[in-house]
Amino acid sequence: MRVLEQLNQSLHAVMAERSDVLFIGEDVLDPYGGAFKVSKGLSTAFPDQVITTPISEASIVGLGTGLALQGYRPVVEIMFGDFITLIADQLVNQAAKMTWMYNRELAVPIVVRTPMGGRRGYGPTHSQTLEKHFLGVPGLTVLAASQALDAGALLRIAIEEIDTPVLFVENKLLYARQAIEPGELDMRKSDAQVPTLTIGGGRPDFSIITYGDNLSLVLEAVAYLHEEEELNGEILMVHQVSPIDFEPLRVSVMTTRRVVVVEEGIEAHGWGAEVIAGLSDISLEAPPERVGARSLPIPAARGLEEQVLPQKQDVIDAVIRTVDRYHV
Amino acid sequence: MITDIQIPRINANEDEVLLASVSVQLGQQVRPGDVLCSLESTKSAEDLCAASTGYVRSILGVEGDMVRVGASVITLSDAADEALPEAAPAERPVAASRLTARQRLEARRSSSLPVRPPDARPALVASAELDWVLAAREKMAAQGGTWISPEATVSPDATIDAPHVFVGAGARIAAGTHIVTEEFILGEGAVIGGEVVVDLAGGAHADSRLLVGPASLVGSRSSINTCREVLLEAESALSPGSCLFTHSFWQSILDGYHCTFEPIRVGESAWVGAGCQVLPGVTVGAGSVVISNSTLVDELPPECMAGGVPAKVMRRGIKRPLSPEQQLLRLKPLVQSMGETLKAKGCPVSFTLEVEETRVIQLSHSGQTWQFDCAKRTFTGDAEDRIAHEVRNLLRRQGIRFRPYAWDAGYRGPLSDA
Repeated sequence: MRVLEQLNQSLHAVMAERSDVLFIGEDVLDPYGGAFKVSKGLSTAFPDQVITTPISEASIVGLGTGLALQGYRPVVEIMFGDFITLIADQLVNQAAKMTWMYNRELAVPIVVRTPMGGRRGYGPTHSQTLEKHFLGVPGLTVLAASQALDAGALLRIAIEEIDTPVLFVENKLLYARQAIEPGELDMRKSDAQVPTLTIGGGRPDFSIITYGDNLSLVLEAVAYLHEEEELNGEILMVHQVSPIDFEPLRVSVMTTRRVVVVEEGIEAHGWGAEVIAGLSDISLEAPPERVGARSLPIPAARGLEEQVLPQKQDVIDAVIRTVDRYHV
Repeated sequence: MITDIQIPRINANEDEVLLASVSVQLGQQVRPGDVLCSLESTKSAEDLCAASTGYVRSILGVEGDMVRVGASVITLSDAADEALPEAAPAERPVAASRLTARQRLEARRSSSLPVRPPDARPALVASAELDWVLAAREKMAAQGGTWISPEATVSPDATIDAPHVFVGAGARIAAGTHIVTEEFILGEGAVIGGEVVVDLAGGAHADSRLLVGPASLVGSRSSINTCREVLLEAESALSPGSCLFTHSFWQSILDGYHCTFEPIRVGESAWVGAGCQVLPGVTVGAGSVVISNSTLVDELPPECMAGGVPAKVMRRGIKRPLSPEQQLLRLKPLVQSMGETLKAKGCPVSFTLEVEETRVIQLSHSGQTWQFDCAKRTFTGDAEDRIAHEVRNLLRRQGIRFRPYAWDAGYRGPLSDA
């Protein structure tokens, strides 16, 4: 099943079970069913639970926050992740603070879903990976879907089990990807509510820490390193991007002592730096490596876009540097 | 000239497009602007046209094919009979000498190559070439095998059972210690605490020896196995209860089990914490610290802090080079507090204790002077004087040791009986 279907079917299931789950967004009604078709069929099946809105991301999230305070569990869709700068005030200054400001008597169970990421030639304002600006906000949980964990199940955790605001990130390339079937890869789950997956058997030589759709290029890089360089890698697939659960990461890095962090957002001041800081008490064999986008707007031309966004070869080169480089 | 016509990207979302029609035939001449073929994406249709005059030499696809963006579809040549380039060999050449990353990693692990670049870590000097070992062996040879300095203190309760023994001046061996080995060198001012056991379990060997460097310490109740060489370099320490093994064997090697006989080396100024287990083949780098109750299984680099079971490096670069000015800043309050300690202990005479800009500590009383040169680590003056001895011990407790070495841990009397 594709990740798009996992998300869509999960929404159908949860909205059928609970009338307090509302779906809010732009162009989400049938027959269009949303820009990426995640809401396909919802307005037909649950006409009273789907609200189509004018183009104002700030007011959509404000509406969702108000409904969450009224006891609903709204799911808000922001059509492109690039537009989340417009919801920063509602999410950071309002929704994320309320539980704390009102003595934990209020729950604000709003989920803001949004597609992120490039590699489609959509240009500088429809290709970005902007969740980095929402990391480390007290009271705000940032989750990221992947092929490795049932994206629909992850969305259900966000909707039903987390009583504080959640930013739910879906890399837009994920929609068309097939979910990885159980048993297809050697995977172990951490026991956190939002688990981190450890992928890879045998005694690993290096750890790659990543999230979202970076998995596809990381899997290719790990396969290449196994075949051509005889190195075994362990991939740590984080699903809760912020706050970070370091325990499963530590378990792997304490074994391998070589670590590469991969993100699609701009590398400078990024998530990878925070991950490495959290592991900095572990003595590594070589300096940790970061792979991310260059500090440039994303070009629309595909060939140029490839030069800005991280590629499989960047991951391979980073891993090899952890083998050949030393601490000074 | 040969021109390769490739499928352009006509929709950002589609990596494959439909080859809707092919308008030319092999060998046909085309002119600029002639349509070669037509493509369709889900959103648009587009014609591919010739840019210049030429002949159609190959057509790779038929109407109705889905073709990948970037794939060649038609080849044109300027002349009708121009030779086409041969297809590139499918297999890429593999350099025979190329090492994989894993091979480079293994090579570094298994060889004696240091983990760091070769220039970053000086090669270790073989034990037989260390000055204090050379001097001790010379003395033993001259004395027919055994030399125990008259200035050494060996408890009457201790035993040493070895064909070659050297105990340097100022060295001490405390009560209840039993030493069985082939060669035993205890450097000047080195100390072996009480109830230490040095044995030859695993069997005597040409390399069975215990070499304890000047001003080093083997803590009480330590256990040292010497079926291979155990070398503690100058000013190194094993805290009490350390356990050093130079062998590990039990199960049959014919069943694939490991069996090792390897020496152990603790580098200069390194410190192995209380209760550590040190396994065969371990080298503790100079100036490193191992936290208590760790198990050492591998080489530890110099100047690091390590710990755990098995011990891992926790922090690097724990030794910091200080400038003479920074050293002076540390010596000044130390000298002042030492003066106060001497008074508190009831020093019977008036004395002066000062540190000079050259980092020489001057002690004077009763018309005599003593110099402790902290830069050169030398001491001049009457070594028997009780107060000078006390100053030397106070400095030793900050890790600043002077030749001739003093070790007065057992002295508890007041200074009035100087």
